[in-house]
Amino acid sequence: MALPLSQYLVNLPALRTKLARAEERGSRMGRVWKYLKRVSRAHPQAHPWLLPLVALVEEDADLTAHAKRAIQQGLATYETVGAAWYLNNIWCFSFPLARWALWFDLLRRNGAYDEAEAHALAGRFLLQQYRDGHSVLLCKPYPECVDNQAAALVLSSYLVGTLLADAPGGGHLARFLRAESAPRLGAMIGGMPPGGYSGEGSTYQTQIVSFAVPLIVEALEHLTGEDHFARPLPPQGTSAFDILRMTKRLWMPGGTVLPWDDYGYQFSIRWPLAYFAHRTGDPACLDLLEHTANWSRVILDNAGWGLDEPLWTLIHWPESDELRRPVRHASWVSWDDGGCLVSPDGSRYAMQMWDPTSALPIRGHVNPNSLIFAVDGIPVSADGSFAPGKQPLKFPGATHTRIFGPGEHQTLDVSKGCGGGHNAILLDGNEALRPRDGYERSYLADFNAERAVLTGDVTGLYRSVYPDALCVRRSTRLIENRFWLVEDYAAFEEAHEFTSRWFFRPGAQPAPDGVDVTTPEGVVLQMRNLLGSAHAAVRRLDGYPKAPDECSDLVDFALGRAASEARWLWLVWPSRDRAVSLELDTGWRARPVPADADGTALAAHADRSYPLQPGLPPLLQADVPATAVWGFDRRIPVPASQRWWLRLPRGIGQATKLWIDGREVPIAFAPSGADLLPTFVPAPLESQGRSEVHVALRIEYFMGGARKDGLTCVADGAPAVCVEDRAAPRIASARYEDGYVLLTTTDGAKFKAAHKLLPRTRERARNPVHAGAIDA
Amino acid sequence: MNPTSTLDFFLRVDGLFAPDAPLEALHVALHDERWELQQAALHALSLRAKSTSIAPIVDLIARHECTDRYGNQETASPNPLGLTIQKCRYRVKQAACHALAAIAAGGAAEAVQRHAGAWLCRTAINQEEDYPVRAAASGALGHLTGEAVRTALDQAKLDTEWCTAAWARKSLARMDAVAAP
Repeated sequence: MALPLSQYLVNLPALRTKLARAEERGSRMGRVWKYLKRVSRAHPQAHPWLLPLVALVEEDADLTAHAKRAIQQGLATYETVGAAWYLNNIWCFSFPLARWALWFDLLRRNGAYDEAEAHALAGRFLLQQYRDGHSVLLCKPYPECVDNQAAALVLSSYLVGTLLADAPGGGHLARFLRAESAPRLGAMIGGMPPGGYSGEGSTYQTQIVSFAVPLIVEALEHLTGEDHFARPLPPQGTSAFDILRMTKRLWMPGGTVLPWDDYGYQFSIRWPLAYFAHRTGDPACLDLLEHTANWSRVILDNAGWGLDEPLWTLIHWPESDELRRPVRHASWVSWDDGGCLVSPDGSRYAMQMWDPTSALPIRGHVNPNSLIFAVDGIPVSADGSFAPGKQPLKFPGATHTRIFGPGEHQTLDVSKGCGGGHNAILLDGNEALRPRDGYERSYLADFNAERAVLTGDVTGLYRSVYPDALCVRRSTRLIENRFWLVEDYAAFEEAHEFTSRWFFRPGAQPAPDGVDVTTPEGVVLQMRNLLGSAHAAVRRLDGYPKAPDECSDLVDFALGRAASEARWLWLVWPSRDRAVSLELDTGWRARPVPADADGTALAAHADRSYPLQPGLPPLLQADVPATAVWGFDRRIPVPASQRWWLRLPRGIGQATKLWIDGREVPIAFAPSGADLLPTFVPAPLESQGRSEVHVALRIEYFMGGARKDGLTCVADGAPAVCVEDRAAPRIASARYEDGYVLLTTTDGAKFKAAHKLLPRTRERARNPVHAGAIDA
Repeated sequence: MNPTSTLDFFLRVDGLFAPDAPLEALHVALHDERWELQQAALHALSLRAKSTSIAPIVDLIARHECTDRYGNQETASPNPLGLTIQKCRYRVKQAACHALAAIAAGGAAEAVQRHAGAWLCRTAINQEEDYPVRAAASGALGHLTGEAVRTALDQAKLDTEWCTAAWARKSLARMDAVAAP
């Protein structure tokens, strides 16, 4: 007899064995598992989502009692909401409800409930899903409607119906839910666009769609007994492999995901990688899990509208031998969506996007060939959404009126979603650029990973607004894994005013023939114009995007005259203004301290300390007390350099305090970016002439419960001492001459790159995806 | 919350979906004061797809048309889940559309058209209705015929709400396919 679905999804005996082995080996997986157990036991009320699986694996009666209470409370929450915001967003509640039902089912099959209890709870789960979730599912046209909402609702009805069909009292209603949802399961994968990108942006792709996909695959395989992972499914022939591969591709070097949507840069969850690795053995996923994923956030990340993601990660994370490092970063391309050129070491990263969009760019944006640059894992480009209460982009005509709810008219300002909100070519000052319905889709015109060239054709999008459009293309090249060439070409029948628009993180300054950008972390991007107009108009935008800086610099290069044709050729040279002189990943003394302990107190108890560093919650590093507030101190050598910085972990909350030689040093936190990027503290003047200083930190780590904005600490990454890098080469001269780009840098290095300009014609390359270092 | 009453309520709902539940019992449930039972009875009737259910369904619709949108019926309803649902009427109307669609698809399209066609046409384009009702009505119309139906669907396909417009397009495509020689 086939295993019940819950036991098929969670093979408890195998999981116990795997986790015990991981703990014994002290692997990353083992440390995470131990951490989840410790926080569950120490603060069960703060971690309701963790309790059922921890209780089941540990076969712990006390935790089982807590888990039963958590399930009861989880279910009661959904039963009693009933407000309009709940009904209008029912998928956000239905999907987590289904997982509570799953944990309930596993517990009941392990004897945690008597029959009467199980009967009553099963009935409540079924009623809840039927009454609220299922009726909205029936609203969604099948098979046309494929998105995060539909996937969540289909899966919820299927899970609740299937899990509880044989529960005491389960029966007719359960079978009704199962029968109505089962035929829709496959389409939730097969109906995704062929590249596997849902079109709803990185946030929904990683945290909702990719949370549902593994469960849908497992449900289909449980139902049919056949492998459904790589199988192209109707109606569009997309597979789960395609979707999860795209989710992997969204990870940028440094660990944030692309700001390819309305939400901007953020961290992704780990489970889609674990599941992809589970099914394919993909070494890049294993490497991301081991070395790039932000494990400090493991109890914080909300995915699938719940907090059980770390459990699923552990369930599917395959055991592996020591990875051979470094795993090379690989360029990729998706015909309909965009592509990325990345150096093998990940230090140079550019992603160009041309994904389908619409006249209502809310989640998916109008970003015709928009480019995102990152250097050494630090984003340089700006994209995303507004900070709360701010709207610095308000383009004329960028509104959309609709009826939302019975008789309720809504006028939306969609400025940030329009072409003017992205790194794109604008015509005649039309920042509200949006395509009309039925426009000719943008497409990949050329890609060659070996030559590191990527060209997108977005003519159709412009033509839907400007019927005289002949050709609009952007080509990006990564030269010698060192710098980029970016060429824009736009040809129209009529004359227009052309502008090349760019958004950078704060720190842009006009420079001769272009612009220089220096991010708060000291990444420098020099952009030099070799063809086209070079005059940069720089404007600070307060409140866009929200992360990392709550501001950006908008840079416009206007052609300055009406013309029917515009061409820009940019040389983009990255460097750093500082370098790490000493990693501070060892040598710290750490100890639990009172919440008000100051720098003096931190230094006073050297005898009762642990050798732990601040850039990872202590409980994730060693078997130490499960307390939130920790003090760290050590002495550091003062660099000879006049200018130096102390780099603090990313994710430190604003409650973190720093003392140098007993004096508190203020930390200038980025408004939203302290989560995403490290904070640099300039060296205090008092350190000059000293050979070493004493550094103390007091950090309150997040231990579960409600997140406190600005204060919640999920510190990630060891501190470091950084010094000014005066030797980093910059552009000395650059020009385009006789078909070559000629570059000389300040260290005397010379580069000569042949560059053939984009033609006026729009021929598609016959086979634009060439062999090379493209990813799986 | 009283677990016993919740369980009893669940058993009532579950029983409506039993394949051997008498059709008459489903029709009686349409008169229950609890909207959840009305909704369940309508879904159960969708599975049966009997033309004899058209009249009780139309009668239920008429009763709901008499209440205001956030009508008193639901607030007066003893709710075993302890839930205050503001907008429940649409669930019943939506389920009624689904039941009528299933009955029409089951071979009684002419009877559905005669008794409920005009209401479905009005509902599909009535912007005062919640969108799930407009969407369900647009979907049900695809099983009917005639100019009035096509006119309503032509308007519904322009609805700014995506599901409604998509159902209308599906229904028009279905009508075209049926009409094709």
